[in-house]
Amino acid sequence: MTSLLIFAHGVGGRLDLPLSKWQVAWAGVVALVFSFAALGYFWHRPLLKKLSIGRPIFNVLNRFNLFKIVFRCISLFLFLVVVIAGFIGQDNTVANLAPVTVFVVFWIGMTCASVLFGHIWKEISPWETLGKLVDRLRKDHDESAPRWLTSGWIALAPISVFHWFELAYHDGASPRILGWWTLIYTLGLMGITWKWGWEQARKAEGFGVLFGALAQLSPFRVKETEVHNSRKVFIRVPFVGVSNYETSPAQLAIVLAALGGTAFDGFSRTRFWSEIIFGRGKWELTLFNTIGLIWIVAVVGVAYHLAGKLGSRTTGDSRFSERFGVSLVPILFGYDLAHYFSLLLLEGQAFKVLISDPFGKGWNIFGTATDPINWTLISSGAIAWVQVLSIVGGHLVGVLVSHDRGVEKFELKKAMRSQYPMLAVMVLYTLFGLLLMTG
Amino acid sequence: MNLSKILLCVLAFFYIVACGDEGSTVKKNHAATTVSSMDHSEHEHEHEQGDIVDVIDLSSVADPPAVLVAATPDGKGGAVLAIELENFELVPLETKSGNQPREGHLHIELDGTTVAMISENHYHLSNLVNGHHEIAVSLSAIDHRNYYLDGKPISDSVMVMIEGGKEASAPDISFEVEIVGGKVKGGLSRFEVSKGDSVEVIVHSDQIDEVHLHVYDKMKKVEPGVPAVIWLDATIPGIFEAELHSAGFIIFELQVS
Repeated sequence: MTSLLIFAHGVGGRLDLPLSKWQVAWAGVVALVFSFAALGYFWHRPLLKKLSIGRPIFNVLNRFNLFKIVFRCISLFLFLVVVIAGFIGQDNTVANLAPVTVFVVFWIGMTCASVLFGHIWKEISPWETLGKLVDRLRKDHDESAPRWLTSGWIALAPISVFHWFELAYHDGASPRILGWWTLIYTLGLMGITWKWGWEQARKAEGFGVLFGALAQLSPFRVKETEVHNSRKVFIRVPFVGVSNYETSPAQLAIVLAALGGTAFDGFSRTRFWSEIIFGRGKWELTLFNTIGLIWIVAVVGVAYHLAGKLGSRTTGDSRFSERFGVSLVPILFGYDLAHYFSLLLLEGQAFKVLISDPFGKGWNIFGTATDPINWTLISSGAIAWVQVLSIVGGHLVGVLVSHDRGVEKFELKKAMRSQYPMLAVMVLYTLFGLLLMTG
Repeated sequence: MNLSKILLCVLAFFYIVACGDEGSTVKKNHAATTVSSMDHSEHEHEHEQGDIVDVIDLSSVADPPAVLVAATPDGKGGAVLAIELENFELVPLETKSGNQPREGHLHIELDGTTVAMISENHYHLSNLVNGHHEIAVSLSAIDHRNYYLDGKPISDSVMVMIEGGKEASAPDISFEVEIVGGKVKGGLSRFEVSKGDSVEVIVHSDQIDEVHLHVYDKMKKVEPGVPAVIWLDATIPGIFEAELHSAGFIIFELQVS
């Protein structure tokens, strides 16, 4: 019964309606006008870095943080339950806890939670907990971790594999497959931890790296202090924090891969693509989707790479691409929100239902096992507005951050010149993103 | 992170899990004695979808029971069912306890919904809408758990063509899809309807399969000559895919806006 339900897009059974033409046109015009305004009319001194510091609100103690311990336990526990559910629960995408948890609660939910609350994944990640436990068991590891690990490029692997399973492989949302892949990933991470310690292994945990980048958009910032081994929490203007963040080439690649993946998800829902894959099943479908996924990720990546090259030439800065990589983070979040907002609110309800009977044994732990999913929780009009606003909003923040970077790094004339390629690529992403949502 | 705390949490969880299990079992037994036809069809739907949890498997029993059903239309919007049983003793529905592997009653399903429970080997279905209907008879234990053999319910089904009954009320909008040789004729269609429409989609296929419309969760069998007719009220906005199960591909999209 493995093929009882096949979903083309992870777990989504319901796709959003296409945006209306006027909404898209309106959004495109706003994005364009704003982009050009950035060239001449914005500030000429870096502004966002100051804003990104924020003001302190409270301190948290590192030790005896009961709150954190509770969350860690819940998270580790949920993780174990989900992996077990993947193996022994019903082998059916919609009736098993694993797919909805992985694709909705974890992938979309953590993205939103990171942007809202900061890098909480680092605090509650089950891999973090397990990694630290392994560290305790084995205190002396090989100090010199290999280059592939320290450079952080390995983190691109889990993100790529995840996208392939989600968007290309025809049976990628099958509970058994998810169970195996989570197990293999966990064992891989723990193997690395065993050899080189969790501090190094963390660099291979792609999701942590990605959520860490997204967390820079959060209105909360946490800073280690020397006093009493505590940390200070700062509150700041939302989204601007990213201007204080530097991406390594590997992180940049991860952000681009996630952006490309989300773009392909949108692309695969267009009529153009559904006609291409129409009537193709199983491995033929996987092949076509794989080609499509690689192609879209390549388009997104190459566009940025070219912009970076052009920027390097006009400004003489060889690290141009990395410097401006941060401006892609808000765009990525805009894309994510636009594509998955309704998924989180609607399909996400299945989590509440399935957690009551995680292994499909007829349990009803929380009394929610038979709750129906409210498919009309949010109107299609509201969804459309969230989609337009998040794509355009992501673009606007991206332009602001990139502008601020420009005036910070270069003198004014060069700064303006540096903006042309960045604006071009951002406008491209935004118009592409909007176009994808017209169906 | 403290190891003992984790351990404590693990223990606490299993405690909760264990309790939850007990509670639900009690509830389930109660539900079974007062089963309504609606509840029941939902139950069976679950079984179709995944692991068998609440059935009695007779694979280990020698001479397992079997059932055969024949249906004759009465020309007045009904059908007479004649049911042949092998190694199965019908006991009155009022019997509340004492499951025996070869005893129980019959559940009658019309187009996938349980419509009757009987303890006789004949039945008259009436008041049907004109057109093709699937009638299935399955063996059930006294406590309404289905008898299974090798992971499949012990049941038999027939298709009947009903005439002289109620006319089907006309839908607001109707679509047709034809599948020939594993391909959808005319390519992928996106059927656009307005929210609130009553919609009918007729799927013809030259192979036996099952059509499933996601989210609206409509499942219909299709056979050569017997199309799957999906009826729905378009209440949920969005785009929904309908898929042919065995073939594993999308056959149409429904857009409700």
